[in-house]
This record gives sequence, C-alpha cells and structure tokens, in this order.
Amino acid sequence: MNFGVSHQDDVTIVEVTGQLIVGNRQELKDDVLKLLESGSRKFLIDFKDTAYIDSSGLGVLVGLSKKIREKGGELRLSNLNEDLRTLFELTKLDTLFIIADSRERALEEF
Amino acid sequence: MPGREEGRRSALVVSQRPEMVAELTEAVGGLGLAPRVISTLDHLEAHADARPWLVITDLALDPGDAEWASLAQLFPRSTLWAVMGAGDCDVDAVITAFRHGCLDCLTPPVTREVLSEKLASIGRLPGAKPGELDRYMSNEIRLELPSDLSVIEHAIKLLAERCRDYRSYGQRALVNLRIAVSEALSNAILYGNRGDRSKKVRIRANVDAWAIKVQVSDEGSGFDPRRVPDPTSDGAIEEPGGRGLFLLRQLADDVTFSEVGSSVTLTLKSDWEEPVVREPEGPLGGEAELLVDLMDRIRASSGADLHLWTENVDGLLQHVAPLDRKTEADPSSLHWLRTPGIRYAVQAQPPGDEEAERWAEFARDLLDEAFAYESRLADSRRDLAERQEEIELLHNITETLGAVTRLEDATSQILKGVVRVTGAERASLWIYDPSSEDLVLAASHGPARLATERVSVSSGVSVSALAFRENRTVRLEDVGDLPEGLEERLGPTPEPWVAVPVSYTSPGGATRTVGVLNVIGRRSGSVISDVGETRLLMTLARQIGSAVENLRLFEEILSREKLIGELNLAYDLQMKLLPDLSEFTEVADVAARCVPARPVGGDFYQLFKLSDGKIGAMLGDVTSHGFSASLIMALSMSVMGIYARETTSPGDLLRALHHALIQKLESTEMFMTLFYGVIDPARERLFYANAGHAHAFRLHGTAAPERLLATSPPLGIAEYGGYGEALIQWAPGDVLCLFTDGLTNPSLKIAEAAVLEAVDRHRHDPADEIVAAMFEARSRSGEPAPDDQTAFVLRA
Repeated sequence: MNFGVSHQDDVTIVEVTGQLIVGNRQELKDDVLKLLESGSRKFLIDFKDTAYIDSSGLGVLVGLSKKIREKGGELRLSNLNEDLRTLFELTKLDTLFIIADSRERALEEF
Repeated sequence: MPGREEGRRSALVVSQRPEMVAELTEAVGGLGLAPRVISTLDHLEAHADARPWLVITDLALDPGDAEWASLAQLFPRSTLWAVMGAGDCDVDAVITAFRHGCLDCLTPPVTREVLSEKLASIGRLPGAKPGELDRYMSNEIRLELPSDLSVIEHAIKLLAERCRDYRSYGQRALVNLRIAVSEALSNAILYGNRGDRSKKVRIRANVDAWAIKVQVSDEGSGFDPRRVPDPTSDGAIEEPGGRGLFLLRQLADDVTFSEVGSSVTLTLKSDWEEPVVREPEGPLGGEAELLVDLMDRIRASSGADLHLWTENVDGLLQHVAPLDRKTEADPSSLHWLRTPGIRYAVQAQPPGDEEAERWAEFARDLLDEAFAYESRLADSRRDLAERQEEIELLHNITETLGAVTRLEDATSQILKGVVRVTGAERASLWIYDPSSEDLVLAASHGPARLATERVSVSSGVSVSALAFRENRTVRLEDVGDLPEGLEERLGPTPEPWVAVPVSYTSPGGATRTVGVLNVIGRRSGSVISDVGETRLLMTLARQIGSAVENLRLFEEILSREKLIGELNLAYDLQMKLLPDLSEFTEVADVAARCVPARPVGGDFYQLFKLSDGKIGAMLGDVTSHGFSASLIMALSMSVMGIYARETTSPGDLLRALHHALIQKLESTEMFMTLFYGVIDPARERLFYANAGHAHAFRLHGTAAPERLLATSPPLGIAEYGGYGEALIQWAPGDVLCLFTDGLTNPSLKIAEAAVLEAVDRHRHDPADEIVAAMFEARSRSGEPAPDDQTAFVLRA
C-alpha cells in the first residue's frame, strides 16, 4: 500500500493505493492521527486504487472515524470499488461513514 | 507446624548440631532475617509455607539428590547454601549440593559479616527488592473486588503469578486454575451479586507447592448447589443454574460450597512430581573446560607462561593446564579465583617476573568475570526454562523475557576489567545494528565523553566507524593515519585511543565483524606496552564477539521456543472452547470447520440447545488475528454461554455482549462481526440478529440462497448501542449457512459466489459434505489473503 496526502481548502485528502490490510494499516493510522494532532479536522480517504480492505483495515477506519469525531472533525470515504462498496453495505458500516462515489462528490459541502 | 514469621524475612537453618545451629542463627539474625531451625530433612514439605530468603543446610545431615531436589523445588526463589563443620570434608556432598542449585558451601566461622559478604557477591542482600520479597513472604491473598466482569482477568493473573513462585505449577494446573476461577468469579458476579456493582466479590486464596485453594464469596442470597442438575442430562440444558458449576467440578480437584451457597471453595492441585535425580556431569565439569579454554587463549595472546591449578578433594594442589607442560606447585605464587565455590588458581612462570605476574592477575580477573558471566547465563537459562513451563495462557504474550541476562550486564563487566588492566581511563563497546547500519553503544565504563549512543558506520568523524568499516585496529597515536574529518574533531594531539573491531567466528569458520571495542585515555603511571596491550585487546574483542553472538542466538532461540509453546497451548485451548457438535446430532444435522490463519485466531462458532426445542447458532469473526483476537473470542464465548439461555431476544444478547466487551474492543481497536440466530422448529421461524456479518444465508427448497442481512454494524463500535433483529420463516429441512470472510477475500463477490455455488450444488447433502465443498471451492478460487477461515452449516 502507498498513500499520498494532499490538501484542498481545509480538507485533508489521503489517497490510498493498493491493499489496506493488517500488515500496513498502522502506517495509515499513525499518519492520519499525526495530521489530526496538528490541527486538521476534515479528512477524506480516497480509495481510488484500492482493491481490498481486510477486517483490520476496516477496524482502523472505524477507529479513525471515532477519533476524528471526538475532535469535532469528520471522516469521509470516496471511490470504493464495487466489492468494497458491497462489503460496507453488507456489514452496515456504511451507516457510520459518509461514503461518496467520487472525490468531487465527497468534497461537496464538506 | 511453626507459625509464620509475619512481616519478617526468614532464613531456614537445617541442622541438628547445637553449636552449628547457634552460630548460624546468630549470623542470620544479625542480617535481620528471622531464623527458623529444623533438625531433619524428612518431611520438608511441612515447611513449604516458610518462603525463606535463605536456606542453609548442614551437610552432616547427609542430604542426597532427593533431598536437594526437594529443597530446590520447595524453595525455588530462595538462596540455597550448604554448611559443613570445621573438620568435615566431603566433596561428593558438596558437588551433589551444587548440582541442585546450591550456590555455596559455608565453613566455620560463619558470622554475619561472612554471610553479608557472600550475599553481596551474588547480588542478593536482604532488602534488595522489598516489593518482590514482601510478596514472597505471604502465602495468602485476600481481595475484595467490585462486581464487574473486567476484574476477573486481573484476579486470575494475580493468582497465577503467585502459583508461579512454585515450580510445581505447570501448564495443566495453570490453565485449569484460569478457567475454574474465571467460572467461579463470573458466577459470583452475574448470579450471586446479579451484576450489582455496589456489591463485592471476595477472594481468599492460599498457595503452596501442592495446591492452591481459592474461596470466592459474593453478597447474594446463595443457592442450593445440590439442586443444580448435571447440565449434560436431558432437559437441564436451559436451566440457568447450570452456571458453569459442572465445569468447576470437572476442572477443580475439589469444590465445596458454604452452607448458604454464597461462597465456593476450589482446590486445584499443582503438577507436583516426585524429585527426579539428574545424572552427574562429566569428569571435567563445564566450568573447568571453560576456564582451561580461556586460559589457553590468554596464554596464546599474551605470550606469558601461565598455568592453571586446582585444589583437589584432599586439599592438594593439582595442575590442570596447559596439559603438555607441568610445573612445580608454589602456593605463594598462586592467584586464586575469587568466585565462591571455585577452587582454581592461576600461576605465572617464572615466579617473580613482573610482567608475567601482571598477566597472571589479569587472567585471574578475566576468569572470574567469565565464570560470573557463565553462571548468570546459566541462571537465566534455568529461569527462562522454568518460565516456559509456566506459560500463562493469553495474558503474558506481551511480557518481555525480563529475566534474560542482558548484553549490557555481561559486557560492562568485561569493560570494567579492560579499564583496570590496561590502565585506560575509559572503555566502550559498540555493537553493529544491521537494520539501521549504525553502531549502537552496548556498554561503557569510565567517564563518558560522547553524548550519543548511536553512530552511523559511514560516519567520517568516528573512530569506531573507521575501525568497523576497515575492519582493523585503529590507534590514534599513529598520526598521519587519520582521515581529515577525524583530525578536525580530535585535534592534532589526540589522547591515546585504540579502537579494535569485535568479530565473531562461527563454528563454520566464517568471520563477521559485529562491533567495535574502544579503549581511551590513560591514567597516570600505567605501563603496559603498546604491543601487549593491542594483543590483549584483540583477544578480548574476540571473546566479546562470541559473547555477543551467543547471547543474541540464545535470546532468539528462547523467545522463539517460548512463543511456539504458547501458541500451541493457545491453539489447543481455543479448539477446546469450540463446541463438540456430536452432542447436537439428535436436534440438527450440523457441521463446522475453523482454520485459523495463525496458530490462534478470532473466528468462532457456538451452538445452544434452548427451551422448547429451540436451537441457538452463532458465528463470530473478530477483526485481526492472533492473540488479542483469540482473547476476545474466548471472552465472547464465555459471555454468550452465560446469557444465551436466559435471553430470548437475539438483539438483547448482542447488547449484553456489547457491554461486556466494549472496553476491551475499544482499547485494542478491534471489532467483531457476529451472527446469532435462534431457530424455532415448532413455530417454523428463525429469529436472528446480525452485527455486520456479511456472509449469513438461509437455503430453502430449491430457491437461491437468501442472504440474512446485517441488522446493525459490527459489535464494538462504542456509540452504537442498538442491535436490531429480524424474524423470518423457517421450514423443516432448511439450511443455515454461515461463513467468515477468510473464505471470500480478497474478492468478496467472486469468491463468495464460488462458495455459494458449492453450497447450492450440495444443498441436499449432509452438512459436513457442504462444509467440505465450501473449503474446496475456496481453494479453487485463487490465493486467499491470510485470514481465519470458518464455515458453519446447520440443517434443522
């Protein structure tokens, strides 16, 4: 997995490529928490090139969402492929995040 | 049995000679230890409660292998010493004693000063670590705890730790203790006190080498244990009073209830075994071989004519090394080793030669250090082996191998010797860390000048890095030899500085540089010649190299073995937690398979026979694998076991589970998907709650598999308290098919379709054939990501 961080207005965009799995989730978590510490509040994780997220990856997303909310911020997700979209629906995790089809849609009214 | 010397550390004196007893009690009393005297080695077990700090045994009692083994087993944390009378000399008795961990043999006069000195030399003085010792003094534990399930883990940990003071508690005893006490405590909390946090649960436990007795009391009104039926008998299964009492009776060696039933006392026996007598070592003990080998090396590198002597049984001097050259014994020229119990001496030839004498002194010091190091290593090895036997199942995985001899300890001893002998001002040892390509400071002696503890091997301004890179001895006195950056840093007239590469030659012959030894500065008046000094340093560097490498390998092996042992145990236990499906054949055709990705995992299933012929079926998947997941799994199983028969609504059951686990799940950032369904064949319906579990299906007739959608997100997301439920029709012969994402990842849709296709094809076959077909379909649909794989199929 690789991820790049960019900023658009006050939104921090984290673009994830590759798999988000047990072996690399910590990296993502640490970096997002660092950004949260340094003042960022609005986060968008964009999964444009992510094929697969395992359950521990999901765990990190849930944990991050909670920590961001505690600081008065918000975490949105975008660009989940069909498989991932189904996964979020089947596990009802889609009720915990705002999930947008595209990055542009996610940024609307953020 | 004599009373326990409350609050005072004690010493056990085993002797029947009045004058010996008087001398010893006075000496130990002077150290502030309460003496306790016994006159025989028979029935030592009567003194298991003593927990003495020191045990001194008179060799006149003629203790043999069995007696020493008993002493070592009964008093595992005590310092064991022997004592002999002024005229006695029985070397065999002393050897027997030492073989069983006796550290020293005292001879009269035994005074407070002698004891104090000896204790100081082995680093054990009364009062060294009060916390640990005070704990050790008491056999009894009393705890008063709030009625909260979270206290169980802590209480058990405490009890298990106390048991581990004795070597006689092995895996079996500790695992049984864990489960039995956990059952007893959850009974007291959930049933006795009905979960009322204002009420207390009291624990009183007594531990000795044979058994632990634990009394758990609650503030409830009690119950009649005789009225609790055997839960395996017909009709009893949904009786809430089943309450794990059955399990208690299976695991504990004795279970008794108080009159009113509000207190239960469990007795669990340790894995005590009669002492086994070990075979004695070869003629030349391990220690002698070590000394001879070291002497050979020092002789070779110093060029001095050094001899090793020992004192034999009759107190006569005996020449040990070198084998090819004998010399005359001259007691006045012998440099005796200071290590207690070791009667070896170094002699230099010709006597009186100043340089040779200095080498002899140095050799003696080095042998002392080496021997101390070896014995510490042996201690840790024993300690670790002991700990490995006493694996504490799921909780101590994160515990570090605290007792291991640290490289720092070993090397700082060596450096101390180097500084003393070479007359340098300070010395330091840097070890290469391949992952960062840095030299890391492992130990130093003398006033440090450098603030850093880490230097890159490519550094241009480091003497150590230079010596390491070029794998050669660097002497700063040889000016003109230095790279520019170094000279800039140290000035034109640097202080004396020798940096020697530390290398390790493997048994196969390959030599690797593993670090650098620095010897810096010079105290006034030191005279050792440069050539001799360099040779000495190179010898030392080789010694250190072996020590570094051996210790590293040793630690690696130990931690690996420990881990494997724990994992196997955890795997066995986890598999045992899963229900035995053969008990359900008369109510349903059911099969399941659980394949953890690592030795332990976070997938699990459970099945319950409920009232009115209802069947409860559960499948759970804890995110992440390994130990933390398996702990959650075990907790879930036990909470479900407690609530399933009492709760009619699956949603309520998930809520109960949520409250029991939320803290643990949140603190570990895990969550859990879980399906729980209650099939009611009489009313032809399935009532279920599904917390975020993706793969739950019902097969009816010839219709396509019907997905039983999640009724809530997964368990363990704090702000989510509500767990929905759903009710669907259930016709006799319908199939419930549950599996975890280990069977579908990484491609949910394609792999799931393949698994469902297999289920569909075998839908009229027995449940175990369906499960087999599901795993086969999984293996055909490509390389799975590593995850626990579980399938559960039930036809009713």
